Amino acid sequence: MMGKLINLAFEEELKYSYLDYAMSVIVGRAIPDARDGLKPVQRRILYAMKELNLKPGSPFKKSARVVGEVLGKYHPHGDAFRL
Amino acid sequence: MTDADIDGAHIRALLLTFFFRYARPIIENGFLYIAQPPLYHVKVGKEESYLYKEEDLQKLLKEYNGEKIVVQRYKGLGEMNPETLWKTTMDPSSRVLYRVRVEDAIEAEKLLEILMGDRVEPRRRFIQMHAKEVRSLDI
Repeated sequence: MMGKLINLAFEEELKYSYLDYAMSVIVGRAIPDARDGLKPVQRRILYAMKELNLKPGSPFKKSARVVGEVLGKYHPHGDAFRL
Repeated sequence: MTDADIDGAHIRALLLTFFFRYARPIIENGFLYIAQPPLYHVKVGKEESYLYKEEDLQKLLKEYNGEKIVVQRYKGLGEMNPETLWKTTMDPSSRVLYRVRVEDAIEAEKLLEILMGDRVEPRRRFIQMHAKEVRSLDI
């Protein structure tokens, strides 16, 4: 079997690649939810901390533990969220 | 070749811009290709397959409703084995390649000015106007 070769218009691909990214960022990444004021990344951090049982009264944990937890389980991207 | 997610789409848009602005002959001579790495790896019983679109997964889940299906989502090229990447994306005997052709250079120029230019307002308007045409929302 031979592979497939399909012609694609530059203008179309640019438009839709850009739109997919822009819309996904607007809908699911960059805007805080009105209910809790959190973006998804931030919510992931709090949730990971809850799962680690890291609460006001509980003993300290290294921040790297939280970072590892978030990266490994909930946030399939880089670790720039530490900022 | 970029990841099969939205960030991959973003990088693809940036790369297209780069080639159009700084290496146009590569496009004009038909040397610019877009590879298609899979989005999902699916296993039903002993049968394995790779899926390239979200719709395909929804279709397959309906088809095998109730059966045990193991779905793995590739979050990026980084978590694929070299053999898998070869088999699904690079092997000339089975891969799907898209060749990029500029159909309307003036239109392309205009679009690039809107999407990548310094002015924010036209970009905002473009996104608002075309928001509903989005191919896949990934959240």
